[in-house]
Amino acid sequence: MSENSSSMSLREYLSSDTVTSMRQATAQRVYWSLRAFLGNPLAVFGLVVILAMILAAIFAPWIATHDPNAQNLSRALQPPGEENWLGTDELGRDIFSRIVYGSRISIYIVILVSVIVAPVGLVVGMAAGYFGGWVDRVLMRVTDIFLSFPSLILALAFAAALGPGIENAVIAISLTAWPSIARLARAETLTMRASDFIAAAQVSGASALRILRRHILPICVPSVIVRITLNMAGVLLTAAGLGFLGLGAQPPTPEWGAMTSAGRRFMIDSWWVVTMPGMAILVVALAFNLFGDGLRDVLDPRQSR
Amino acid sequence: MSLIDIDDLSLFLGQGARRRKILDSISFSVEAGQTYGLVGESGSGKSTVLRCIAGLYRQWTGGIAVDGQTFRQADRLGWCRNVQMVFQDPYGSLHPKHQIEDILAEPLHIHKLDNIGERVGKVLDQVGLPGKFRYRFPHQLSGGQRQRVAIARAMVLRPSIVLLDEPTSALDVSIQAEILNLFMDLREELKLTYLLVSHDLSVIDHMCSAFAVMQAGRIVEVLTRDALENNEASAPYTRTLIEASERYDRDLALRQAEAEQA
Repeated sequence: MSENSSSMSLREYLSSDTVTSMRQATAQRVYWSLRAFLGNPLAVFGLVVILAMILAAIFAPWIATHDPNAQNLSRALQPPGEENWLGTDELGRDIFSRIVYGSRISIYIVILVSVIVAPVGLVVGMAAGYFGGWVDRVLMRVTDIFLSFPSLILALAFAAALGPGIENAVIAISLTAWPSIARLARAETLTMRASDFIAAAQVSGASALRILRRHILPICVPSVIVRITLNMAGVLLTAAGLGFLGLGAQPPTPEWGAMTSAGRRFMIDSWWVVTMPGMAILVVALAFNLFGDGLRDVLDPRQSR
Repeated sequence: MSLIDIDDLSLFLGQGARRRKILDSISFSVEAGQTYGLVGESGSGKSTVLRCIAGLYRQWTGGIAVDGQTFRQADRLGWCRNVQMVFQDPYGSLHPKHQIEDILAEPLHIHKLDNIGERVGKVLDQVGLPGKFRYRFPHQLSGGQRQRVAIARAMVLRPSIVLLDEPTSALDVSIQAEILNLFMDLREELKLTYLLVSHDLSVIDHMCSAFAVMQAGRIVEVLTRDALENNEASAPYTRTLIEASERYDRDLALRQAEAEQA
């Protein structure tokens, strides 16, 4: 087998029935998942938008046509045109460039929240589901308490206590976003806690930590990834909402929510000042939702429509 | 001294008003190299006995000893190396996201043994699975092949005792005999002692030299294979069980139903 594996074409390698290495087995699984995902045009649209946003964030200085903070009062409130593709705001700043730079802030918030929320939710949920008894009761009551905080109000409280800013917005959003992940992980863990493959691991002598890490985690992770992706749209909207209220990113940072907030005074005469960042929020939130749905169909076939 | 000694084993499950006695002072012993059967209807507690021995239930009272060493004294990993278990449902006992290689190597990693690749290859060979299955996932295998993987997982630690929890009842009739023969071959090859749970008297008769009949958490009768053949069963429940296994009898079924209503 190993002699002719080098001469095998990539296509044969990925669809062959005789699998000769662990790497090939993994590659095959990725390949078939990818094919299933690419068969869903809406999900692909979501992925493309998210990738475009990430690229825009990375290469913002090369993509942006103007300095996002450069004011030019002689060109204030210009409608979309050749010089300023999406028009200018009340201080003459180029809206297109500000949206491109703003994607950095949005991505920063979304990634930071996900990185905080996923591990915390997974650990709490898996521990509660696996150990049961009083561990479950304590952890789930704590989860209930955090679940009952309205995230925007909590964020307001944080902004009042710690001062407005992106970091505080991230903390506030994370505090209210992890309980849903914990509940999901707990539910998944409960369904398999009594299953024979967990019993078999126990009979093999595996410690609780090993069972959680090697046996329960791989089954929880796909649904958590799906949930996080679908949550990202909500995170983005909350962050924009905080920006709009003046409690998230502070001027002159080109945050999309803050931009819509600043533009609402000129909404009647200069529609583009509010509309352009609003459209950015809409498109990206939609993209996260579509991408999450597509991901769910691939990773978590039980829940697909 | 016997290899396995079960002495006055009792188990309660549930709490408060829902507390139920699952096992009621079970005692029996199994000699080395023997295949010992536990027969009984669903809910008689026969699988529970195995789960107690395997360490999956800890709240029992009484004594479980292997080779003179009691469960409470033994260190956990040592006990696991000695006592392994094959589960009833091969569709539920293999981790759906682990490749066969992972499944078989996992016990070896836990016990920090060396030559893992070699041992996995050998045990696959012993249970009659070709090497091409090594990098498959369980969902790519048939029921019989999956059960072979589950058997290989139990054998890979080289235990002396293997607990078999209805290992063939979830399989196709044509596969059942193959798997039972595999168990017989492995017993010779690896010098194993089996404790076999089944509700099927013909399987017990085929495999076991002696067996205990269980009903409602209690051992009703202990029989040898010869006694079974000479029709020496004395307990009425055992006689009913034997009669039921020989053929389907409408009168017997009616009598049973009436007895249950009374």
